[in-house]
Amino acid sequence: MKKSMLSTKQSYLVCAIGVVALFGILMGVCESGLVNAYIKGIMMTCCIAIIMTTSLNLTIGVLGQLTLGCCGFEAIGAYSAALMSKLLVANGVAMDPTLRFLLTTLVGGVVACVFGVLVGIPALRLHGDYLAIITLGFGEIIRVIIQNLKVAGGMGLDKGAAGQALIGIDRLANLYVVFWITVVTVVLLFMFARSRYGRAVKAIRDDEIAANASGINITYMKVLVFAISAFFAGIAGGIFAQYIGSLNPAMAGWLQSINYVIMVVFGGMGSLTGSIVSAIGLTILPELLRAFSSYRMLVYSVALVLIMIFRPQGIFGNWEFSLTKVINKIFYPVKVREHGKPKQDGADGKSEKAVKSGKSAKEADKTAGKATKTKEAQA
Amino acid sequence: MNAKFSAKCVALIAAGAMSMSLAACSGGSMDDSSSSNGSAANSDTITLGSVTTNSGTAAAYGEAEVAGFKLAVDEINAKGGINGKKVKLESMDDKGDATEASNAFNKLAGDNSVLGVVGPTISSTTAAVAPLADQSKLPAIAPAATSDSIETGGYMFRTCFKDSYQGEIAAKFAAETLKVKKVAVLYGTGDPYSSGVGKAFAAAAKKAGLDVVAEENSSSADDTEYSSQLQKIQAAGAEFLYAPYYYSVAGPYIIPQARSVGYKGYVMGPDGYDGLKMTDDKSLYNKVLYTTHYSPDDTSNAKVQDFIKSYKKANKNADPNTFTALGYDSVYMMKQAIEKAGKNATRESVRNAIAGMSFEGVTGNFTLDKKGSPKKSVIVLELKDGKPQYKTTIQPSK
Repeated sequence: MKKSMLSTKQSYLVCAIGVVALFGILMGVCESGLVNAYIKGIMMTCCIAIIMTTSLNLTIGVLGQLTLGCCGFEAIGAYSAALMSKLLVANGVAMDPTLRFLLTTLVGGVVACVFGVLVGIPALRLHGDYLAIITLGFGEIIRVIIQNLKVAGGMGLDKGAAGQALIGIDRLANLYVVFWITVVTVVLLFMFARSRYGRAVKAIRDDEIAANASGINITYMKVLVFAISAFFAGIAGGIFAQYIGSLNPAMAGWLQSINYVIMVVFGGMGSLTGSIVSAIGLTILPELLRAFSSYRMLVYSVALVLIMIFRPQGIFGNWEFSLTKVINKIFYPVKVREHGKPKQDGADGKSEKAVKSGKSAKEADKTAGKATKTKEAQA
Repeated sequence: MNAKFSAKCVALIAAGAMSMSLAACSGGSMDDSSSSNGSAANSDTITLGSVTTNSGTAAAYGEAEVAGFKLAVDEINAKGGINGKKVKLESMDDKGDATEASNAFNKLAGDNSVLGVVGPTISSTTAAVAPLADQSKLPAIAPAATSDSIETGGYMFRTCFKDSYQGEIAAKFAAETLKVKKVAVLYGTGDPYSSGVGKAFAAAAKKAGLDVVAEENSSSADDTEYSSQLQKIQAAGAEFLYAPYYYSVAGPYIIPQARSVGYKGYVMGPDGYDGLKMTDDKSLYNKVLYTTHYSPDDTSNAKVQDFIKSYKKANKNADPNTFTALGYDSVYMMKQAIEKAGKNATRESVRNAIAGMSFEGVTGNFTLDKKGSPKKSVIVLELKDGKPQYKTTIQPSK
């Protein structure tokens, strides 16, 4: 039976080819001058939104804890990366721009991760609404702290002014590099979600007491997920800082975080591919609606309401798109059905399904690509 | 297929693709200067782009600006356009969000028929657009972004005076018109506007020879309790208090609390006092002054009454506000610059025409400085029984 279907390794290969093909298309349209800075900017925004949404989905969808502080971490990452970049320039460190971009973005991620651990340890003792309120408060604290930091305003560092927007950040973000950062992020998140740790996290989501009874260290797991989520939010922030070139403390506010929570819920909680699709969709939608000018936010809101009425579980629910599954379905239609059936051992169906779908690690990128392609088609 | 082999293939392809992406870095860069030398010379219309905040919390500002843009464009077209060409306004919304503002600006920059942009509305979106304007060589005039930090000296200009300039003007007014000696200042350190204006005032007051007897601050600009700071100010014997806060805080909290600790001197604020929220006892608000960009009662400027008349005619008798006036002036600045750049105006020639230009408009007469901010006359209003009255116009110091 196994022979006639794609093996795990083969499916990895298929996905890798898919991602590379997607990158080829991206490069093709960029190099040939088919797309202008506007489209490139939207693609960049999409990549940032994908990183934010998928990493947030790890906390909200996989761990099942509602947090509203993701933009606090994004802001920490953004400011750390921006100030690090300025520090390198101020000290006259000559560096390849791409290397500097990668280094500063990584610094942003690490600093955000440290804060994630610090916030996570006390905050994750709480559940549900209480955690949401704590994280909401955290975002506000970050905003106020940044606002009062002299080094984080104006031109930054010693020329800084408290409360001003941080300006003059070198705009080093490069679409190709950001594309690969996005791919790596999604792959890592998928691998985490389907690993031993990921299964433990899902067990916590489904029944905390049972998970605890089976020997899972709940606090450790929660903080781990929170820290990973914060790390990637910091990475997204680092990219954002070096794409936009100026930062405002308001970016840490809860309204921004709500935006990403919407994307996660919209795409389907627990589905990383769903997050990717909704991140791209909800980034492009307001741009497509520009033609409606003043009605555009109305149309956007109506679209959100309609989706929530007719598909309350989100576009993808907790189903993952998988290129391998599609190929199997096309070439081995009967086998798939046989293969799929006996696996349900009566365990918790929900988490079981989610674990299995984790197989499609790299397929996610493929979906990311699909949507990017659509985007380009619109151009 | 051998599993090891597949794994190697995956690794190889991934490595290859990544190195390719690094090698091809220049291609993916966000610079896009190739399409930037657009010239509208061949078409018979001139397109002006606008990026404003028409939704979100600052929507009222953006809507008022767009009303000003539209009025100016209609007037220009009725009088035959610019250099004989009709003007078209391409209006974009940015939700008050930096990313949206960048996207909108990039969209306009990619359109070769756009010669200039008016907007964005607020300082944070303007800070995001300023480097884009320089990069895509598309001149932009922000009507009302007052923050000091948006200046680039390149393609970003503004119609309003900047925050620190208001503080300087207030110090000048206190010293020369009110002729007070002892002044105090109170500002919120966490807020860029409040602290920026307050610090500029303190510095200028010292320079003007005034005695700054108290320099107090609050941690944010939306606190509601200022009694302890105000008591210190009262005890120091101040005759003039400069308190740069927004209308929603200065009106209901700072001014009544100042009066209740026994302070009887002047209270002055920046343009954030526009539309001051007041408590029932209007007598508390006497001797309250503020600087602003425009006043409908300004009799020293003939253009003001014409502007109000034509705005009322076009908008069912509604009153224009400061943002409308600034938006209106911004479009006329563009017009003057494009006329100067001539029939074959390009984005670069328009930029050069804006830089250092002298302009006479509804919000005063001014010259743009090297960094693109105007040194302009400032209107001072004084509250009389809760109603703002035109007090004087302060000319910039030469």
